[in-house]
Amino acid sequence: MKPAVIVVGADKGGVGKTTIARTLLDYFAAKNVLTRAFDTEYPRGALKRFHPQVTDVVDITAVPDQMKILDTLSTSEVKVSIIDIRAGQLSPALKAFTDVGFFDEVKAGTFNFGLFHVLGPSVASLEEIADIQPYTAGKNYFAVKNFINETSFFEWDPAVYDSYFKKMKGAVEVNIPKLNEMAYEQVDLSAVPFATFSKNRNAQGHIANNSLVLRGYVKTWLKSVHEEYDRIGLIDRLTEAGEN
Amino acid sequence: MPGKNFAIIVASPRARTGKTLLARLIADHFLLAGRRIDIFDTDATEKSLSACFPENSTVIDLDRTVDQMKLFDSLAGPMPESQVIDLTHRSFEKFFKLMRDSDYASEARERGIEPVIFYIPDRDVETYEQGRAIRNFFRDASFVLAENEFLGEIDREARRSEAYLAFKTHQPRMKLTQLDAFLTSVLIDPAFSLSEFMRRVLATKPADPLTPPPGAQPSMAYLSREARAGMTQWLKSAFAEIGRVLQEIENRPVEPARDPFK
Repeated sequence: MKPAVIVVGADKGGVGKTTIARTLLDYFAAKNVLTRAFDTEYPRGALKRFHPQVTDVVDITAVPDQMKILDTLSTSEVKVSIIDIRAGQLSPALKAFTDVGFFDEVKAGTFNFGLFHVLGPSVASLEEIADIQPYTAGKNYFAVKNFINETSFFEWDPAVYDSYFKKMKGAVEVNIPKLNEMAYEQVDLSAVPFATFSKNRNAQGHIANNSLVLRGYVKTWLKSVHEEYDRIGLIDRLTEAGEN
Repeated sequence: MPGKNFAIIVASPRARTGKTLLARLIADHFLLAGRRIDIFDTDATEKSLSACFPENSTVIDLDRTVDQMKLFDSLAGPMPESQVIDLTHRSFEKFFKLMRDSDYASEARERGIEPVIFYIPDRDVETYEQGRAIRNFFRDASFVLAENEFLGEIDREARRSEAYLAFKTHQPRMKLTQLDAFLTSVLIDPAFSLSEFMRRVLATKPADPLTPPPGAQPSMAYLSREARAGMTQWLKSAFAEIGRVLQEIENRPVEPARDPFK
């Protein structure tokens, strides 16, 4: 398997980028794919709180940190690198990646690339697609509708949505279902991966005292998220050349 | 009577099939045996079971996450006593989905709790089909088919159905037998404690008049000797049925817990 980079981002905040990154880390762990993550909520960290062992907090605009991510792709044991891009930095980050020739390497087949663009429920969110489009042609572009926090997408006119969506070559729509609010909050407080919570473990791997009901909600939800990633053939898409 | 701790779920997909009566009989069966019991009434509007046991019952609204947690987390928690859940038909599907998603039965078993579903079918095919689906899915819970004669004859079409026939040899099973209209009206009074009545009957010689002790439930005093005998006989057989079924479950070898998703 060639090293793959997954960028999770949105220009708008509060659409659940970190949540999506967390589900991806759980997914690859379940598939036994070695994965690392970069948290760009520099210096505080958002993703790192849930996955401290595999996450580095980086400043995506700083050259040393760009090197830390990209220069280690071929040498690292790890096959998938997930970059959780903080709000407002998706376009600059993609531009920086272009400037350092990363996308040329992707075209040349050195690396695989996937972009998880987490959409909010507004049309503004759709307009982001236009900004991001130049970077995604011919690559794995995943338009993520995140329903996890009961975001309603009713605001969207299907015709408007389709007109944006059709412009994207090879765009793949991903739907993340809603998770019971209490379950979501409890995992948040526990600061552990979703999978760990559902297995009733704490961050140290000891038996936790999580509610059976909330664990049930998390387990069922995570299962359906994983099925969604299976459905879009995520692993296959990342192991093949980015033509599909 | 020491013994296993049970988490007893009395369920039926239909209204008015006798769930609350059966749940109440089971609860009184434990109380009569001197065992403590926690009672959960999932009918948050009518609360008719909790009216019978105001002191050891909790009303649960399964539409609320906090109540779901209260129910399932205490069902699987360290449990010093047995539990009886009267599952309203309105929450039938929700409850079993939660039971499936939380993998409750195997967690309960890990803690030495025996989950038992007492399923009351109605007179039609559909309720036998639903019962069969529940029985086949929750293999790590015991399933008791509880047929209620109050409901009348099962219709002919249902008798020939595959689902009905699938239960033909099912064990354990029990019957709730008919009771006349007057005694039924006495029975449905929540102030009439079944276990207290039986305890007093057992402590009294048959010829003695059953005078209410000071502070006892008033409705006991209204019963004539014949009515008392009729009630006694019915309750004895109902308690015996419940006792027999639970004994049968207790004596069965424990099957290892299974993950329903595998």
